[in-house]
Amino acid sequence: MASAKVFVLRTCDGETFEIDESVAYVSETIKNMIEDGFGHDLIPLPNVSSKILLKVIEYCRKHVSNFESSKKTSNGDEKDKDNDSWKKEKEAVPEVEKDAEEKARVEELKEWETTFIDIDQQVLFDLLQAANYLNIKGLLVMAAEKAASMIRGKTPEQIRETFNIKNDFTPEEYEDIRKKDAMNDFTPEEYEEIRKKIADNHFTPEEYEQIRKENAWAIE
Amino acid sequence: MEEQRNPPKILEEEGKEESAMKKKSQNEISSLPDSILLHILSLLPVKYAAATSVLAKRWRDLSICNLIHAANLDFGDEVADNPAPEQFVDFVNRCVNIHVGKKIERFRLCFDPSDRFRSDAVNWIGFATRKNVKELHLDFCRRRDHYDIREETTSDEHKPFELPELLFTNESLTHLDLSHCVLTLPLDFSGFGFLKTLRLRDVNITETTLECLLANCPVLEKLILKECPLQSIKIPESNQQLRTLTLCHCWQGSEIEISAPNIRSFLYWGKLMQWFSIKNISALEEAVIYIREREDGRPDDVRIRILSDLAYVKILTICGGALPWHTPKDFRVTFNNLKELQLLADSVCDVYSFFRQSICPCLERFYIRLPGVPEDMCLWEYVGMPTVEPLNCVFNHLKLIKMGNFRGSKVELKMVKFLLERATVLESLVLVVPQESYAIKKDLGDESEDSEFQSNSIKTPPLCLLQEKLLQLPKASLGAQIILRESLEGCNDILLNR
Repeated sequence: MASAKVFVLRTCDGETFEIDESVAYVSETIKNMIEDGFGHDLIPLPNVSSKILLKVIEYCRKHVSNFESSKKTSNGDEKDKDNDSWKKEKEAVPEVEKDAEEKARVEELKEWETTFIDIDQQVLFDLLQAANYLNIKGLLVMAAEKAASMIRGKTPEQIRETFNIKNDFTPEEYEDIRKKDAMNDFTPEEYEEIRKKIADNHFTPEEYEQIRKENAWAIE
Repeated sequence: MEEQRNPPKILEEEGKEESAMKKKSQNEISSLPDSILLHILSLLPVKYAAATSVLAKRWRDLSICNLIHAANLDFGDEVADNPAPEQFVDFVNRCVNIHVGKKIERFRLCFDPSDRFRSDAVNWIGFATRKNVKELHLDFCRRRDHYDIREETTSDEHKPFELPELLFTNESLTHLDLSHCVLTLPLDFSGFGFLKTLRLRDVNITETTLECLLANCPVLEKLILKECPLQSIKIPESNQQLRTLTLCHCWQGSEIEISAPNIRSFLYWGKLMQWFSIKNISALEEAVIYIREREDGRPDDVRIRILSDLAYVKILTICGGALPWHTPKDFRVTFNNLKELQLLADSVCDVYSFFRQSICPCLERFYIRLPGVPEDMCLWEYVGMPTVEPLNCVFNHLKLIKMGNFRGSKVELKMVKFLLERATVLESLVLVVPQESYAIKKDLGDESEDSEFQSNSIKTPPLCLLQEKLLQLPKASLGAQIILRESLEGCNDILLNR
């Protein structure tokens, strides 16, 4: 239902953006703010820059228009309504219930997504932050998948290079990692210890050493 | 978990110039909060997520946290680059032991346990079952390259993995994907009340077991059977929700009987069976029938049956081997709903065969993949292939025709002429010429077929010459565009329209 309501968002760098209600509601955070009565003035988004908000709005608009057109071609399946339809479920056999129009729509959407997420690292991470803050599930998933794809298949060295991650292990600690020593069985008590430590997030160097060896298999 | 503050920027030891740009910016990824980084790690197969544990201390924590709470444990695709199965087994064992989450959504494994690690594999399945996994993918990748050809009987090492009974106690399964194993149901099998997708590939399962399994999966929507040694495949009426059925390479299958009333999509790829029937055919919208061989002397009754049973489809993909050659004189199937037809022709004559036996009043799109070899008319007669053009055939809705492997031979041009004369509202005809075209070298009008058949003449007639010939053909639809182009992809794509 296209309503005439329009909302104004303000970014951290002072710019304002007008968007329709349906577009605004793609963000759970904004939706909640509006429902709590904060919509009649500007909605401030102190954590989002204008550059990024532009991208976010682009996504939201596409999401709304995609939903509209999918309602026309499919049986108006209510399942499509929320962001679940944007989850990439890799199924063994592709969906064949859709007719040619629907297929074309899905194809076009995939292409749009590929272009949309083809952005540099800084923008990607800012987008991740924004999607997280604004609670836009589909965008978060899309951006996270893009980030995951940049990690997948790379050696640790390559990952460090890609993301400029500093290796803060000492040479001795790292030497241990490089050794492919996989035959290291933990007793149930040791596992219990490790589990507790992980919950508290306190690692001593000795514990680091032990656990590192277990991942020898995963390290190229 | 708290965010870790980065230490002041320190240049990498190898001062590469390319990374100067990156050095300028802070570690952007490290400025992301833990929750987002964990989300990213959760999207990776376990191996890659675990590899991040050596990046830095914070990643170490995240990687472990991801692992122990992981809802998606994907140990897939490891066999190819796995030189030391012991390491893999240890790793999986640790992951399984360290996991604290109560439930997992997905568990995927691709591993040949052979005899050594059989009990480990059973443990892992037990783990997944205890965690009420919803999607279970188990590929036991039997390695056939280890088969000793001197031995007649397979040694123990090659005995396929037998699925433990506890797998069948998991009532939360929604997707089950099994490869290269043996499936027997426990006597007290109570069914998979939520199972939507079932895929079995090279699974040793008896007909009765499959029947029992299907009868106890009331909400099953997708069924895929591939390379299973079943002789008869029966899909009962009780599977009311079944929408997609794929039967692929089940080479022993000689009886196919499908009664499930709501199947929308059916794919069959295998040999010609001895008995075939689909009941309740009105729901069927899309069918793909790929039967390659054509045995001499086999009666065409099954082929006739197949064609008749598919009468309601909207989209049909069928290959030459599935078309009957000898039909009763007035045999016609009317495809009242058929909008899109894809014909994988073994011969140009398959086009005539199809339209002699079928009436397609609403056909809008027609895709043909022509055979890969030049055609010999003498050979046609020799094998008894019907070659006559159907007389009363008209396409009043056909807008698009696309042909792959087009070489511009005389017989192909004749067929194109046949279509052009009958497609009254045609908008475009697209002819795709394979890049390394083995077109008939001699003049396109030459009829000496023998030497063509033997020669490997490679010279392609220039496209402009072909274009000229094509433009000279009479067309019923004056506005139709004829587009000739070369294909960069292989000419053996099965599906031209996807």
